Amino acid sequence: MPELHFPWMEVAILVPLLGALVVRWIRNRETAHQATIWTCALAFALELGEWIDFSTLGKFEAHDHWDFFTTVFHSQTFVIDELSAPLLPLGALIYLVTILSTLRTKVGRMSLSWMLLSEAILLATFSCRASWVLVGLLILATIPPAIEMHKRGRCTRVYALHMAVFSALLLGGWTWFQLTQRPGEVALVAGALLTTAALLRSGVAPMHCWMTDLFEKATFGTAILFVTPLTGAYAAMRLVLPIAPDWALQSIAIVSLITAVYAAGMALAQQESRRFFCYLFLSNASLVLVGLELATPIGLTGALCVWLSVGISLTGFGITLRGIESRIGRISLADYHGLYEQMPMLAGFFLLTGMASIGFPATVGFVGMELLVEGVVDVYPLIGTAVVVAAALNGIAIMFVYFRVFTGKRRVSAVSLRIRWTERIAVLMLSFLVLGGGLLPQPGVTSRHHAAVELSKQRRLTLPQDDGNLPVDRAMELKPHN
Amino acid sequence: MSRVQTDVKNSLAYASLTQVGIIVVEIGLGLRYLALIHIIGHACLRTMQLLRAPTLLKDYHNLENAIGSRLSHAATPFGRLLPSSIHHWCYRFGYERGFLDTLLDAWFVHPFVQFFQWADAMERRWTDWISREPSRESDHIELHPEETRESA
Repeated sequence: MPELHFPWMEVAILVPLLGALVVRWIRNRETAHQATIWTCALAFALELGEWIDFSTLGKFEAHDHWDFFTTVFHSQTFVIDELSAPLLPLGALIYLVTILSTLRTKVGRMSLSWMLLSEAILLATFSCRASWVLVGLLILATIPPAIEMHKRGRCTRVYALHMAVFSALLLGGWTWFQLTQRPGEVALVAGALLTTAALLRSGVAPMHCWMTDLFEKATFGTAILFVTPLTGAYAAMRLVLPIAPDWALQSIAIVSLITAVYAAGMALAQQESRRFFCYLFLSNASLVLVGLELATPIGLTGALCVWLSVGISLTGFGITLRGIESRIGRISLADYHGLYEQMPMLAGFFLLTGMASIGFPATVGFVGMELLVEGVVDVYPLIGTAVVVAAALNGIAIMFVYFRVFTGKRRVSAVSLRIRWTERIAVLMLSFLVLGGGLLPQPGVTSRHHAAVELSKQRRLTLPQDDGNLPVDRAMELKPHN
Repeated sequence: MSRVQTDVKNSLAYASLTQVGIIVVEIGLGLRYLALIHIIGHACLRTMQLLRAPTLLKDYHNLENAIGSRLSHAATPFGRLLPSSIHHWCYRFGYERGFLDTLLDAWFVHPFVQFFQWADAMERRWTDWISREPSRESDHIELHPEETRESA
């Protein structure tokens, strides 16, 4: 397997891990905040370097230079490929902009060391292929939000119940797969268990209530960090896509499509901003899942593009709502707040990221959404139009909330509500990506298309052919990595 | 519709729709060149009307100020044939834009919102049941926290 020029992945995972340890011992809150920002920035720079290094190789997959895990455990645990290459910097970026947009006065509400630990887990997850390590990391990632809710004195039953079921399904499915899988066989039971686990983690209806509960009870920042990297979709790509038959994937796509429309409708019926964001995100995340499970190159390309655009735009959208909430408290959508004049930059950013999430022209989501619609309509000519319905409902919901929050009678606050400079940096970074990805979409789309074609090829090689057999060399190669 | 609108923009918008309808008929009949000439002519005329509209309104106001009353509008020959009840009904129908907003609200928006509010209530019951306590903190938020809350 080709090798990167530096152990980017392992160092990028190590940095937030060490940062978590250091931040834990810093007593001064302001210093801890600064240390967290610099740790996240360093992790992002490393992931960016990794992506650039990987792109220059021109290969489908590669591993670290001086690979520590391979040397010690004789197992290639951390491998970058075309699927995970842009997801790693995206994950690091989400953490960076979230901590940048956290106001100093609100730093005490979320544990910075747990946040950095979550980042290390996320980066390790995105660096893993299907293996016990991936299963362990997916389960481990569910723990920090539960601890935070518990520390805040909130009831964790809804979240804990769903995540316990997710963990059990994941462990059960992967164990079953390890014990029973033979080359050339479709893993029905293991596939069903792993699929249900991935759907639960992605919040597909009716298994989505943990997500609304998380947004209600955890801090907004933690909730954003837990859901926006789309770890459930990653689990589906790594664990389900290579082993599930077409009909199973297309059934998942239909369930996800229903969730996309349902969540978009629910977003319109909400009376509070966090719940609205949760459903808006759920609708968009389900659209990504729809494309991923179509298992066609065009659908996959669209889904991979939308994955990145949703990650960027809805993180921006989420931190905007969080910024407003940090200043005035939780936002009711039952009446108009008239906040435009007091926070014009946040208002503009709200509209920009909101429009980007639904694929507005000249934003990062436009081409991806077009490809996704084309891919879905190709496979399901009739119900495929539900993607358009979901996007339209999301657009209406975003405009509805924009008018509720920023227009109406102006209510003057005693102090300035204007954006702080660290938030400004976060906003500018995301705006640059939203508009840059929209005005120059070709490199991103080409890279995602190449990844989609390779993934489709791999899937064809993994699953039984028409004669029921699987190429033996390929079967051995794709045997789970322990 | 165009005749009963109370502002000039809406009036011109409906007038444009009339022309667009006629243009589509022309295209449907295969009269492509006529449609093309119609499109160009209509674009020029409507642009001129839109540009002229503000000053025309001002001229009317000046005229009415000068004579001290509203300008009288003689009924059209067709209008004189109709009873006043039909006049009023047509006026209201046009003014309310064919009651389209009302119909959409009653037949589409209201059932749609009701369904999702019902689904929301079901989800609340489900999470309350698992939590064994009221699960939604968002039920107790202030309507206008910006008026009372100090900035961060």
